Amino acid sequence: MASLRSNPVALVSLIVMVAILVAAVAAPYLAPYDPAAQSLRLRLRPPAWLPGGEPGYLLGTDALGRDMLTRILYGARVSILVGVLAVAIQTLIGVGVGLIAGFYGGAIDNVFMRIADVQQAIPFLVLVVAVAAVLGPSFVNTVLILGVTGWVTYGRVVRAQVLSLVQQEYVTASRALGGRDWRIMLLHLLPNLVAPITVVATLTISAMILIEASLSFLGLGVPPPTPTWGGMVADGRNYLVTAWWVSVFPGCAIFVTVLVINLVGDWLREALDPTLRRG
Amino acid sequence: MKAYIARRLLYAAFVLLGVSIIVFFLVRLTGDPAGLMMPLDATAEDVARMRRALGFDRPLPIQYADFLIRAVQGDFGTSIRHQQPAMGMVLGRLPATLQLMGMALFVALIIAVPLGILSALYPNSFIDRFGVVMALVGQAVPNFFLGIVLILFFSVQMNLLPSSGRGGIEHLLLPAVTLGTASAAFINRLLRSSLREVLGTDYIRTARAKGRSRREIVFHHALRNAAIPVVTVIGLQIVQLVGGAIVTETVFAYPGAGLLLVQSLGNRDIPVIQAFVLLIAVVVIVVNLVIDLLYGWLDPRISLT
Repeated sequence: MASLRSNPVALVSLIVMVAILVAAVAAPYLAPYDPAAQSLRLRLRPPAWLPGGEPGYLLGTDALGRDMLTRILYGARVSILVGVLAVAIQTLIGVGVGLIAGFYGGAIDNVFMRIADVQQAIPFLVLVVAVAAVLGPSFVNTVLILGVTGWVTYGRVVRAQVLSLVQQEYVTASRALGGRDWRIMLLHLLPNLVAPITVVATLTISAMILIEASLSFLGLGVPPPTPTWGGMVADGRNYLVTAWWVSVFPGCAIFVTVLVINLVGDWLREALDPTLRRG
Repeated sequence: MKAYIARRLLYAAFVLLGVSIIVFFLVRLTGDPAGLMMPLDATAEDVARMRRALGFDRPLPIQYADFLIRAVQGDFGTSIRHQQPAMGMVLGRLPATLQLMGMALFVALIIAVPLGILSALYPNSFIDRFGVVMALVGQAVPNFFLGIVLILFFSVQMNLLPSSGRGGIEHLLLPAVTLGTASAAFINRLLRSSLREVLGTDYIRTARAKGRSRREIVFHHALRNAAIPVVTVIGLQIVQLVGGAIVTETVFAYPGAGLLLVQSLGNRDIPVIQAFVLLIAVVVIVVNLVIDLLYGWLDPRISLT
């Protein structure tokens, strides 16, 4: 953790990331208004500092007169929750598959890796939107679709690690002492996988936030009236000429969130694995 | 070489078969494929009649065999909304999408290759730092938002380029930049690190000792070897571009296969969605096959046997 002090970019990113997290959790207390509260009188008001802006509405209002700032704060909850839950499911499946495939090898390994090949022949977003269209848009479906379809990276990373770990002497020793397979996997292999999994997980959370935003943008994510960043950008498309802020602020929110998570992820990767330092 | 190609083709066929299973089960995820193909207000009798008419009441293996036989013949059923053959509709839109993807890849390479070479030759210079920032931004900005920002600047503010539709090169420019930026960011960084590694090898030192010009060393000796990981990644980037094309075409109302997919998603036009997924998988598999074969040309040390 000492490397944080010598890495101001990572430090700032970490602070911003925590701030976004706090904003998401505390949205009901921080947000000035109800995210669904509409006002016909205050439709498409510009940000407070521009001419025509309303003092109480810092980032302006959307086409239904809803406060942009409030909705961006609430939108953070969806993005982050979907990202974290989806990655949790991916990790569970990916680690399970990777452990079993790497440990047993042979036919089981072959079957899992061929499934991975097949799945990777379909671009992730294409698979996700197709499944979302069939199942219908909802919060639970979004999390499940991203979680279940996104295990491949984890599976491959874990499998590769396990393949080299099972050659280690302590695994042979455990086996010689009569250690059962599950005991070796959970007690000896899993702890060694924590670092690579953490790195992949951080970097995938941002990827999942981007995919969730794309899904919401296409109208296939969490449905309205729940505010989502991607959905808000889509709402603003019709008002680009007259009210740019409706699209631009939520878009910036996605950009900043993904950027800081990536920067923290890069820092974590270097901190956890010195051999991965960039040349 | 022939044996290698044959084996790769066989493997591609296997992957395609796997994809066909996914596509087959896609419609059956909800357990009621007939209901999916009917309007929401259809009566139970209507759905039951549809189920029998489309053969959804038969055993699954028979349904799959039937699906596969018809798929091989290019028959994915009829678009529920447009009453046209689903595959024909997707194929008709494919050239526009391939044109957009090709242009995006061109934009990505024209930015990434010079930037990557200069960054490798002058590490920690201004241009190298610019590349780092571009990589960070390119990977964090969602492409639908990038598209909207570009429209705001170049169409709304400056009135320079059209914001939607398909026509000449001017219609292609903004969507291609939107779609290609993330790839440009990635390829630039990869080329930089790969080229730096190659420039540190013995044979480059030998070439330098022989008095070859810097230009000759970079372009004749180093770049070809540095290109190998880049070519691999271009294959992966093309897969990414397909996903990005869906969103980009939506932002710019660009009439490609991606826009057709999004419209079909909205209408739950399942046959069209199935045809799209399978066709895209074919494109991906072919691209990966071509890339595998390209290795042999780039690096004769990789024997394709």
